[in-house]
Amino acid sequence: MLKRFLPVATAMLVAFSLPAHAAQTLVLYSSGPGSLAKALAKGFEHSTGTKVELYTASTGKVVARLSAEKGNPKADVVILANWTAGLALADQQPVETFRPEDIVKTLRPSLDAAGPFLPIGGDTVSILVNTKKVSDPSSLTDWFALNGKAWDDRVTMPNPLLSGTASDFVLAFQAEYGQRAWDYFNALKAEGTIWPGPNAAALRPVELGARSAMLSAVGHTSLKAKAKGNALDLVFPKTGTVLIPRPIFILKSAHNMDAAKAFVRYSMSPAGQKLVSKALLIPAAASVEPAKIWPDLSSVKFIHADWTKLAGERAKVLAKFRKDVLGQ
Amino acid sequence: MHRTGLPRLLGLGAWIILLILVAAPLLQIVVMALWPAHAGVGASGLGGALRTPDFWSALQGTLTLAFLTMVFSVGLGGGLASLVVERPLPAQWLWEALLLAPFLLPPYLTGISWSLALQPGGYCSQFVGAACAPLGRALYSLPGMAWVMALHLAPLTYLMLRAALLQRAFTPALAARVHGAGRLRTLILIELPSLAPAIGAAALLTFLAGSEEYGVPAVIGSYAGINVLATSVEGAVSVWPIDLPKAASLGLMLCLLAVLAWLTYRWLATFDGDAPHRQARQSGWSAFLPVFAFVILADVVPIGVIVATSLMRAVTNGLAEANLTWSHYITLFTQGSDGLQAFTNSLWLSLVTAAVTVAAGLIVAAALRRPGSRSRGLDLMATLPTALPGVVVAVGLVLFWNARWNPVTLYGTPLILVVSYMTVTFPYALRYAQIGLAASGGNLNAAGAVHGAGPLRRLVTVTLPLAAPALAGAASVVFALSMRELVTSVMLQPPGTEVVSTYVMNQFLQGDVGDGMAMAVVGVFSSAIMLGLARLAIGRR
Amino acid sequence: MLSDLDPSLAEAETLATLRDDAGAKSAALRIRGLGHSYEQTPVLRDLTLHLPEGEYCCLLGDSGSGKTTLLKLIAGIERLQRGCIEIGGLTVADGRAGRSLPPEARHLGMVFQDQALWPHLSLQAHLEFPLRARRQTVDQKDLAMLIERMGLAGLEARKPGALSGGQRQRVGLARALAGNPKLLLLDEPLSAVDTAMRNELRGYLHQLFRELRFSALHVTHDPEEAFQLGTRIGVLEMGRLVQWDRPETLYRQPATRNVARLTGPCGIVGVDCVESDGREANIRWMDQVVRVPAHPDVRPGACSLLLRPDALAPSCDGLNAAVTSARFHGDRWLVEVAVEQAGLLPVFLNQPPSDQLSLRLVRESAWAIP
Repeated sequence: MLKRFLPVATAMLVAFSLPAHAAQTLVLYSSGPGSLAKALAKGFEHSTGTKVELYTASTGKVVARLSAEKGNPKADVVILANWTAGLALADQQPVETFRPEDIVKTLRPSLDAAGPFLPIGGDTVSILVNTKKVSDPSSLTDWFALNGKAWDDRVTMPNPLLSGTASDFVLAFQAEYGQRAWDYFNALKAEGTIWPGPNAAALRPVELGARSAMLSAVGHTSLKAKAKGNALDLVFPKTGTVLIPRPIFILKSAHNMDAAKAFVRYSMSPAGQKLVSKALLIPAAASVEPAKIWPDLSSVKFIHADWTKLAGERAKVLAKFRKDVLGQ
Repeated sequence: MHRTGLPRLLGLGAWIILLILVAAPLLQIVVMALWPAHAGVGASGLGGALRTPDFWSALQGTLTLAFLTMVFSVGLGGGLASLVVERPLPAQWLWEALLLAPFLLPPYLTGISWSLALQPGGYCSQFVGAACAPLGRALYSLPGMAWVMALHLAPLTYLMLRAALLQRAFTPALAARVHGAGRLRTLILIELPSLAPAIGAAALLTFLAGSEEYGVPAVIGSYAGINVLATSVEGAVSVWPIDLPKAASLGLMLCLLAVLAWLTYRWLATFDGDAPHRQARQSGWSAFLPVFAFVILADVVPIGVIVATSLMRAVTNGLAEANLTWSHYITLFTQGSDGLQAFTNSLWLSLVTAAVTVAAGLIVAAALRRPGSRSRGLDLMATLPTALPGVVVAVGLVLFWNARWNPVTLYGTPLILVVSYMTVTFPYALRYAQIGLAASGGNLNAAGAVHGAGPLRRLVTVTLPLAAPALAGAASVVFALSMRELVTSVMLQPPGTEVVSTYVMNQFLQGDVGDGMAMAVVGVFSSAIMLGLARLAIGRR
Repeated sequence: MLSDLDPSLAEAETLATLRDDAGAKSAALRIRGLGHSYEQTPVLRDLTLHLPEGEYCCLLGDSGSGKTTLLKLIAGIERLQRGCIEIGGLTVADGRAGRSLPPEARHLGMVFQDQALWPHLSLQAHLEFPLRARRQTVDQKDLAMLIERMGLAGLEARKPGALSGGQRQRVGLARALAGNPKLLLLDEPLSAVDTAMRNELRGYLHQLFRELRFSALHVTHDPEEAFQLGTRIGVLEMGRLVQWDRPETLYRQPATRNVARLTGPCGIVGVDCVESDGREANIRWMDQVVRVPAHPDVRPGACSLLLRPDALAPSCDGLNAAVTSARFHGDRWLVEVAVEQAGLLPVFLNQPPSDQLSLRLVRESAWAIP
């Protein structure tokens, strides 16, 4: 039996150990939604013939992987869920500056943040409520509304160490409200709020009715759950939420720089941007409309966030959150 | 037999295999934990890790989970074993199969199915209603997780304790009774001491399994806000900001805990019972209710939930005809779908792992047959992976195969998964290979030599044909275990290579639960078939 | 027991003696100065023996006497530590030079205690194995003859699992013979079978040896077996080869008390030796000095007098002996008597004994050892 197995095994070993980056292969690391990364990869493969190898995970894990592989980078192109993660990463390892003028001028101004790379799209956060559990969602006028006895063991929030949008929410939120923000997080912790993982993990208990509300719920995941027919509603606090651009960038170490640039161009093209819209993100190109399920964004108040400044505080704030709130 | 290079070559090969699979990753962890600066990372290492609050909470979680898992598993398995031994049920083979079946489900799947059943809005509340809420709360706690682990591990303790019960001599107890000891006295003074080594061994094995488990805490613990060492280690490696010295330190602590339990187990397991004193017992139905209850809890509910979920459009809409669909399976088997890709990846990786691991196991087993102090060290190292938590193996492999000085960076290629599966499954391959070689032990091999066959001819005409059934068994066990391996897959998964377990987990945590469960059904089913074939192959002789 | 000896064997032995005497020193096996220890414990000490070609030699020993180890060393299954082994004139192992041929290069046949048949191979494949392994041509006619002779005809395709116990024994033997080995080793081949089958197989082995005249070393713990089969018998005691002789020498002139006990009924009396000349000795027997045949090592002082049943004969005015037991043995009575100063002694009588006997010593039949 072994004799029959060995040649096969040897052949496979050889096949596996062939360089992972044979010509015409591009490695893409992407935060969620995985469906967008897959659609882009597929579309790009279809139009150029370049094969795309994909790793999708929550922002925290993608960044972790990139920093673990720093000495020996595997990724060519990276898509992250929030702008500060991109800036922080660009601080750590060389990122190709890629902002061609022809693309920049098509951008939606609200998403065109400062940095060496382009936004592929954007998203925002809200308070997501289960309408069967919360009778009057409109009463939640600001972020601090989830505080008090009535909310004991009823709130979830994505873990900002994993979720990119939640981390940018925490950054912008504490920049805006200072100590009050930290007191609020501690109060949430005291009333039994859980941080079970990235957005999807935090959303599930609300979707199932085990919890009533989710703080800092990312738009596309919430809308997707709502579209399935779940009794969910998004509440944008009147005091203002944040619009978070999602960066797409090329590592300087990219094995195939031309293909990498072609991929970014494809993602920013109308075809790519339509996929972004379909993934329920806000497209970066002004000419492509967000999906119909999105509420009218002009009626939502956004607070200004200085991403460059916040990126500098990112490590410190997340470490504080990890220690004080998550107790890790 | 002498003066040929073969034995020396075998010994050398065995050492190389074990150095690569076991020693190198472990060494990397120790270095990283104790001298992080030396390893090129400016962090505080072991001392720092021990001062963080989450180390202590994770350690406490691990210890509690392991202890409760041990208590529940031994209680459950021991209870079932004594019932079945004292009064076998009619059609014992059927019950036997049902009692062992829970072991086929990887613990993370058992955890997923119980949380699908008991979570608010889950099956239980759909069928029973609000009465389920306390059950749901009970699940999302350390005892709840331990309970899930125990349902998975009970078959193991059942087998161990049943063997001990069957093998115990009846006459000592009888003698005690004749010489005036009452029933209770006999139980305490005579029966329990004779079972103690088996109970201790079962307890330590389950403690070990509970302490190193990653899947169940990952599935249930995150919602309960509970951290254990295994999940903390994974977090420290794969969540930004990563902290490799911390991962290595926590891994080292976890490893010490596990190795301690395992060494005690090895010491205990050397106690040998007498030859079986099989006493024909009258069969009857008195054990029916408890056994049936276990079958419901450990087989029917988890498997039922998984199958039902794989057939449902939306979990929250319940079991109605309009809600039933094959679409998840169709998605899974659509050409080019992620699911199919993950399944084929798992299939290939597991097949390669099976072939390579069995070959490695054979080499080490052959080397171990030579007596001497050197082979004692080899033996210790060969069986050590039994005690190595998967999460520690993964950290070690990341450190070793992604090290800057290592010219072969397997990290980031599918091969790293093969290596990790090899390390995790190696003890099984080794045990089977030893059984296989023992088949040509005694004088069979010597007879070949005396009658003129050289080492190679003996290998081909005597050793391998006789070992073939055991090797087939080894291959299928390794295959099945590789198909289900979760934690090393999660941590080492290269870009573009999803496997069955990570697919199921991802779909459960943030995707379509139905797709995930369809994959789980396919994965468990294919592993079960492989294991069934293995049993046939071994039983054939 | 010597009385059970087959006349034909005696004949074979005479032939062998003749050949030996004629100086034809071709040895199937020659061992010199062999020593072996397991972790400091000596198992075999300074063992030297010479097995002439065409002889069937039996090695007697209790369990733990080292006889299985000796076979393993000869076969090369275990590594030689000290001494030197020659098979068919070829040195196969030399402890001093650290040279050792692997078993497959020693051209042996071996019958194992547990038969060691390969469960996955057919009878035919078993017999072809030694030939194919040594790249010899497989002569199907020869094999068929061997199979026929072994009474295994018609079973060629069967695997060991489908054979009876006796058939398996014969397959083990046939395999050992199939390759025409220079030396046949037999490791207690008959210890695992019941008495009836053992007798049958013994007769069978005997017959086979008479027809084929191979050289064999047969290890056993059963003196009866050794005497029935062996043209030459060795006795191992605590790793020492204490005697290596013809069966009748073994019986008449045992080297130790143990050899005497092993080889048949024997009375042992502690006596004083007055003087000895290497062939005979003067000993003190019942207040007289008697001259008896003696072991060369006998020196003046305490020694043992070995008395076979025929060393005592009825006489009118001999020693007074009280009969303690009697059983019919062959065509006469084997009686055990108690003699003052001498203890229990065996004696042959032609008629049923009375309670008291008067006996005399048959000087030539006695034997003194140190």
